Amino acid sequence: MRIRSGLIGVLLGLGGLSLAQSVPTASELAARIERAGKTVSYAAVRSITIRSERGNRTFEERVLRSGDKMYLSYDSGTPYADQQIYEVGGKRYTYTKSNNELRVAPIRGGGLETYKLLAEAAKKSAVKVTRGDAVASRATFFVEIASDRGRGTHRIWIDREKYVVLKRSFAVSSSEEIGGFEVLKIDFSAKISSSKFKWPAKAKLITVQDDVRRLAKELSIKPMMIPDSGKMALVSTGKMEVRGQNILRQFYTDGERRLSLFVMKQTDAEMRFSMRGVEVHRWNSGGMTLILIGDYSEAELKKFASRVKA
Amino acid sequence: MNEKLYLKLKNEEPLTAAEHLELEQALEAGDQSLVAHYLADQDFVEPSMAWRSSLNEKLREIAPQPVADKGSRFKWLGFGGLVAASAVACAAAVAMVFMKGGDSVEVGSSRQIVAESEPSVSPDGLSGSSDFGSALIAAHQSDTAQVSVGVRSPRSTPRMQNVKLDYNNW
Repeated sequence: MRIRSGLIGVLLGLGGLSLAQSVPTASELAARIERAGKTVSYAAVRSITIRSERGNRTFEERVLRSGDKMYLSYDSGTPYADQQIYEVGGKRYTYTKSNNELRVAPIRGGGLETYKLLAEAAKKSAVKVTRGDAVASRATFFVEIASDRGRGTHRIWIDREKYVVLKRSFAVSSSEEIGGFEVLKIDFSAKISSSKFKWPAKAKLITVQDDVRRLAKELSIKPMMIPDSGKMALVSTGKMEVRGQNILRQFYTDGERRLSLFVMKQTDAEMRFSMRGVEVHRWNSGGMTLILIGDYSEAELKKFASRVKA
Repeated sequence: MNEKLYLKLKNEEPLTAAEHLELEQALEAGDQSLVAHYLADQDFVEPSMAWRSSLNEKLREIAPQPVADKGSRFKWLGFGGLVAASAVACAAAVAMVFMKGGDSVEVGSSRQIVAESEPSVSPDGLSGSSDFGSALIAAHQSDTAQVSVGVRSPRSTPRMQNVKLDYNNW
């Protein structure tokens, strides 16, 4: 009996050793990330860099996570301290303390769905898993996923012990990164109160569509949108100005493919578009010029255009 | 746009904190005049990927490597031997527990030590454009990047180096 127990122990130990040394397949990694995602808990600070039309933007977020719930906040010394973000049940709730408004938007793609992206890529053999550089002083597995049809390259660094994404970037070509984040510090032993994941009960709920209407009014533009249907959802909106022309921008995604809709007062201005992997469709309607940009075929963009309503 | 600030930018002079704030606010408010002036007056070149790559390579060379990745094959063998020895010790302990009649074993928890990490290098650059097509493509790329990595973009904030993870007050 003693000998048998000892042998089992040795085998378990050696098995654990081989597991620690081997690099998992993309499918195995996806399964481990999914399992860990249900139970993992941590406090972290992460740095985010996003390329925008005004140049690169870098900022830092404080992250609390418990299972599939996330709470994001910003340092009190920053202009963004007024906001708190809650990611719960596949939706992102952005609470603004100063006006007690809670903006709700669906989450499509992103960190919490990494395992789905990996599992899909594994089926298409479009993924490479190796040992990665340390991130926040923690050992990682490195994953590179080349999207089909030239949509971009995902690079993901995953904690070897906890199976949490510690660093991630997205590039439109093999080297041109347009956004990403990197965990700077992380504490997996943090004790986090469940109250951190609850927003104020009396906050005024505002949808992205509400924001489109508000911004359109502000810019004296018709609030033209693609109606919600199935998986495709409006996830964000904003305004921008180019050459004195106010533009209402909307961003839609089904989690995999992306679509931007720009609405402005009718213009004959020449516009040149140059970006690999996307198509553009421009048309005029009701005194407005509308432009769709997305990783869809021209025929698909025309179909979306026919659905746009005020 | 403040002419003094514009001239400082044009001459690549360092900005004060107040000027930084003014620049940030102007860009936040959608003031494209500065960018337009700047691009018109300068032979503006965004830091090339080759430059970024070489900088990253240099940083990688001087950065301390994680202990786990330094190990040679022999170190792994040594580590393997250690783990195997530990496994034997564990097996002996398990066997002893069984012999003693199955008393419960309390497992102690170890606290994770959070180390300071160097800030990542991300050269900022004004890559905006007064051209319609480029501006719309850049906006689409920005939203695509945010959805792809699962973040949303607020405004820039100062780096939080050397802070404690005092998460009870977040």
